[in-house]
Amino acid sequence: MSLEVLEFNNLTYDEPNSVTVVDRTVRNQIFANPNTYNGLSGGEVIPILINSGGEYVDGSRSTITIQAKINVLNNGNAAYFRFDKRGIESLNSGSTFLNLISQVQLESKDGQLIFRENYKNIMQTTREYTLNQEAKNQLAMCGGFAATVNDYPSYPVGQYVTFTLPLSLIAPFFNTASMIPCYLISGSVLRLQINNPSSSVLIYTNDNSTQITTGDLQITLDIQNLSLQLQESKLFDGIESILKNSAMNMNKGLSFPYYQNFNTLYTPTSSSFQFQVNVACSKASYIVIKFLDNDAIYGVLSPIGCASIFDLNGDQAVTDPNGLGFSIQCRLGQMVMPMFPVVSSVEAYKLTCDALNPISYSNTEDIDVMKDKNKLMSGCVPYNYYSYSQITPGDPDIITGANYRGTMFGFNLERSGGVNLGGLSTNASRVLTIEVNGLTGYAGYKLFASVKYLSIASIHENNVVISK
Amino acid sequence: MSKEQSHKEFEENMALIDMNHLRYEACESLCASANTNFNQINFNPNAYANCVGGEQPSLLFNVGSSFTDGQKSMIQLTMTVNYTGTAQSATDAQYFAFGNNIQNANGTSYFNSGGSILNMISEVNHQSKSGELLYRELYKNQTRTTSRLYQIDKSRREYLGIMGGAQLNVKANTAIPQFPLYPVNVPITFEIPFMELADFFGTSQLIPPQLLSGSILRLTIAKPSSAVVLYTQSGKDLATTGTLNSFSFKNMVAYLRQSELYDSVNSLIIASSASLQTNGLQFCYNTSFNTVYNPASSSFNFDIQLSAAKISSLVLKFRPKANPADPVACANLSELSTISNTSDSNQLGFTMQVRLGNLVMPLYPIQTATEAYQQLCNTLNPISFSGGCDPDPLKTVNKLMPGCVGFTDYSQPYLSSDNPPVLAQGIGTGACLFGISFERSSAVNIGGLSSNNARILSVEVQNMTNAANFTCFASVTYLSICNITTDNVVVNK
Repeated sequence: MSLEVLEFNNLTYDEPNSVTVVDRTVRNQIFANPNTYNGLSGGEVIPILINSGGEYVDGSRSTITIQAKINVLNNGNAAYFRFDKRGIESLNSGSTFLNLISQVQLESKDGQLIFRENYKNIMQTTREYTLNQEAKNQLAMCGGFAATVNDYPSYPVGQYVTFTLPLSLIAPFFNTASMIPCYLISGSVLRLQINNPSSSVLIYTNDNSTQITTGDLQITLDIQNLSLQLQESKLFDGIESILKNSAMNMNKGLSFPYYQNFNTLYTPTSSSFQFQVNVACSKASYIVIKFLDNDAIYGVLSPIGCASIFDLNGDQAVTDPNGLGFSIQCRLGQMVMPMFPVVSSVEAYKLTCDALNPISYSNTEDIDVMKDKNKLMSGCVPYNYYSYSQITPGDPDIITGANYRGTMFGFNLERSGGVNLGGLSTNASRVLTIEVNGLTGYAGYKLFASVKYLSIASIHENNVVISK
Repeated sequence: MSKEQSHKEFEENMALIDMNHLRYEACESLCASANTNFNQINFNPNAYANCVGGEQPSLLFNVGSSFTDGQKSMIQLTMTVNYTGTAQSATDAQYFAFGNNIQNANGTSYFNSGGSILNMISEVNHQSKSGELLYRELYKNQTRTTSRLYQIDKSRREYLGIMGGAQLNVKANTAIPQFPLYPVNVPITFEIPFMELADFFGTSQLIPPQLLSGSILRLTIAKPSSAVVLYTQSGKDLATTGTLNSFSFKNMVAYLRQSELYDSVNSLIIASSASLQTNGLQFCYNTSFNTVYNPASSSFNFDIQLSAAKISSLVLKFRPKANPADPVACANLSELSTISNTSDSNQLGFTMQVRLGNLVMPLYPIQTATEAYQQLCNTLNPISFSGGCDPDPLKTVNKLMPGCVGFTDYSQPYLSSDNPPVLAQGIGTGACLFGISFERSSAVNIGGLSSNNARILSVEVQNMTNAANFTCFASVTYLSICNITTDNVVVNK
């Protein structure tokens, strides 16, 4: 009888050995310097020096705490603010406090750019497809949608409100199972660029339900007590010295792999267009695009909500309630994905979910001998929130393709559904292109695209080199 | 290429094919169980009439030589809430539930209290055949009930409707969970999964008969008035007249999922149990040490007298001393402290820190509700790397996150339906716990710190204005190990 069979059947009755290599874990607070900013109106950059010393940082458990105050300078009726529309109208937009941050950037101690993501506020919607409902509800701590009240939380204007922002929302770099080695993180500078507050929050009167929609509100942001809460671990000396020796090895050093997003913007000028994404990387994982209303910047519409299929068709219903009304396809060099143009919302939804779902084998029916394959599926955007038909009693006109502001279009660039890091490469001679045909409502919308790709930080004793 | 090299290359290729799930071979069963079935064991006695609190039903685990799957085993019982009305139909009780479905005027609700039939069990203890206490958890109704909601997902919460827990009711078109109502003076049957009763039963390992057989599980019944909420005939108002006399239980029975292993497997395990070299079998599980403290002032320190080698977490819960609106709901932040409506909506209203010997956790005092919530979720989350963005070559690291309590359910600024609405801050739904993790690594477990007389675990709270009105329940989860030999069981912690 093999002892392995006992193990497989969970029939080994031994005292478990602790395999932790961590000697001590503390949660440390590091204040930004300066940590108070008044009258921010967008464009300002807040630097935070990550002074973590010789400890390893667990990014997925670390947070930023910010006390923020929204001031409305030219309207005395402004009483409350939300990060998105009241009620469920924009429940899948993904709005949070990050609406107020347009760009994030991390620079290593020796000046290497570890990641830089533009349009951070806009591309938050991708999170709606990668999290489950439980994780989404937890993000109410940074102003996200609250399911049990079916609304975005509202906060008083002119009062400081504390928000805790998990570092994992800032960038995938901070959301890995591997702790970030001190050689990489210590001395690095995180820079957050503030977005225009007028296009980041929506303002309500003192009945908390009437939105002020004049569109010319002068809104500023004050920040105080800005601090990082880092979950820091000190490793046992033996382990630490092995890692240190490896870092000092000039041939290889330590390698820290992580994902980063390349986000870009395109303004369509005709109903059929091709749009090239100028990123060069060796392992692209997916590309996802969303359309945002040109008027979203005036503080009247959802600040980051995706346009619906109805909107994109120029406010026209399509004959097939599950039709797209236009076609979309992705090209990479000489390859098109999929091999056929996507012309239905059901196909677009399926492709987007497949591209963004980080869990493999969710809801499979494998003969799963070890019961370790079948998993649960992620995602907070059900199909009927992605595109639904709105029928008004007595009105013969049906609105098709309505949404809750989470309609994105994604294409998977991984070669395998079972293992990762099989993504395709893109460069100047193998360009990633989005092809759209027949988009009637193109004039009113901007297109934002995000490519997720693998980066590797090679860490040596004196410097860090990022390859992608 | 030599034969050895060729063989090595073949093995590597096959491993790669395996990783990509491209191995097309008939599956081999690795099951070590020859036979599995549900068995029924009655409590003895299996009926208890007119319980007023303090009664102790007991269950002798007469499991023979079978291994027991604690996760799939359960207790079934039929309970009657004995109530006498006053013939005032408008205010007398017609129904009961394990929680309060009525929202307060200031927005406080209780649907995340975690109330269920566990409300009526105030203590659980389990003694092995040789007399060793496997675990003893006091204040069971107050501790496990609420914290459980941070560890399970919404589907599991709905499943726990078999215990009378709050659920979404599609028929009633409710957006928030509601406690189901049951008629008073009518026998109602409930199921309690054993794993909800104690972590001992929540392991993936089958419990060996050498440990479970002959052991006795004792449940202590809580006071009826502290376990249920009574409703009038409308089902929407609380009953204000009549008397809740007692509970009656009947048909108390345990359904155990038991497996007979193949003889060869069984003999290997028995040989290990009898071996002096291997120190017998070792069965590991988590236990909770639960205690209470009554603060006398707004700033207080209290020590938790626990000696354990591997502490995993500490969770605190505050309950009103007088007239609680719900049997097990936590106090809101707005109740614990004075939270001005013209100040930070996400403030805590007080500061909190935990000390273990010369170590303080975190290194700064917790001052905000958002930070307290984040720490609590990290503490109670049993899944590593949930919501991760790892490059994850084999797609095995990234997982989904559990937890049925969103941040606005923990604490939120609430606006009443008046016009203009009235703002109240620090309002919750009965789930406002405070937690600290002692695990050193978020990747692997059993790295918890130790506590003893020379290294005392203490909680430090400053400026909790209304602390004197509340009782603080503290629950420390730690590792226990049962050493099982042929003659006896010894529990280490």
